[in-house]
Amino acid sequence: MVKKISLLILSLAILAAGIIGAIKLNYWQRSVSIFKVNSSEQQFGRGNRGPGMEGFGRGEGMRDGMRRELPDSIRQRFAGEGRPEMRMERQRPDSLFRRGSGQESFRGEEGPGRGTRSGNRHGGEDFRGGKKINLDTVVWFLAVFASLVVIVIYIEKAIKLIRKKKE
Amino acid sequence: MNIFKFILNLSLTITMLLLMDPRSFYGISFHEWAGLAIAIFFILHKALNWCWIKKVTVGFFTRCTGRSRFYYVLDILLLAGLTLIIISGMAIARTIDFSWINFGGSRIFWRVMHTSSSLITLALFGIHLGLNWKWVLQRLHIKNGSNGKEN
Repeated sequence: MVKKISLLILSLAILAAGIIGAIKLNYWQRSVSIFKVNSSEQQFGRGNRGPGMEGFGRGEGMRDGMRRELPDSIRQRFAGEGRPEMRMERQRPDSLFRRGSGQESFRGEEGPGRGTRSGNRHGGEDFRGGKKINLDTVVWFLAVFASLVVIVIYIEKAIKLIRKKKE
Repeated sequence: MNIFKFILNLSLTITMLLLMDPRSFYGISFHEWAGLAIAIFFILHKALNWCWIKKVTVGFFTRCTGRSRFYYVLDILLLAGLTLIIISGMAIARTIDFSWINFGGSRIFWRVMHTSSSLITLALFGIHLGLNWKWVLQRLHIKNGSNGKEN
């Protein structure tokens, strides 16, 4: 009985962590963004430019991610709207992202949001050079992954129980 | 063999999670090379379960149980997801030169495709692991029994 209760508590903790992780990572919105890409692409044109950012930052949605792909001039036009901390990143020319031998990174070195995960998401755009290990985001992905595993295990158990009762 | 399978599957899971954030582990270079390596892991994983794949493919509409069919469809979705991740990853690769392949489409399209397909595939991986959880427990000598997917 103790084992069952502790397992249940553990499962609930994993589930809670998974839900928080999914919210933090904007999991659902980013997952379905592929189904919106065609209409958005028409809206923003075919930006085929320089190194951008992998994925989209938390809460920024697809539009922001796509804006980073736009040329400097167009991007600066967008820079007038949105949050002030985002403005700084957008106003930085693309060339700066390309600069350097790959050992330098803007992530966490300047600007608002320094040292925070969200700061990294929005500001840490060049991740080529850093030989660093930062598993913050990976832990949240693990939480989402583990919560899905737990959900499936319990659904399977429930289905088995229902079948047994029917028989 | 089972220990090898278990280690392979564990490596596959850890690699997949590390790949979810390109910045988390030794930067984009690791991300791109490990992304290609994961395809080999996946092929090996499927090769080790080849008997089951063959059995279900042959008897999909006749002999198979609903559970096996569900596993099979899920595996096909996983294969499709992983293929999409790799192709889109190649299209937006920066440290490995794939410019000799004409992918077409815009960089935005491939990036969104890469992000979305990886998130969806991770969810499918979670479902896959959940359905095969008994196998994991067996390997860890926690629980006896069969999950029906063993060869």
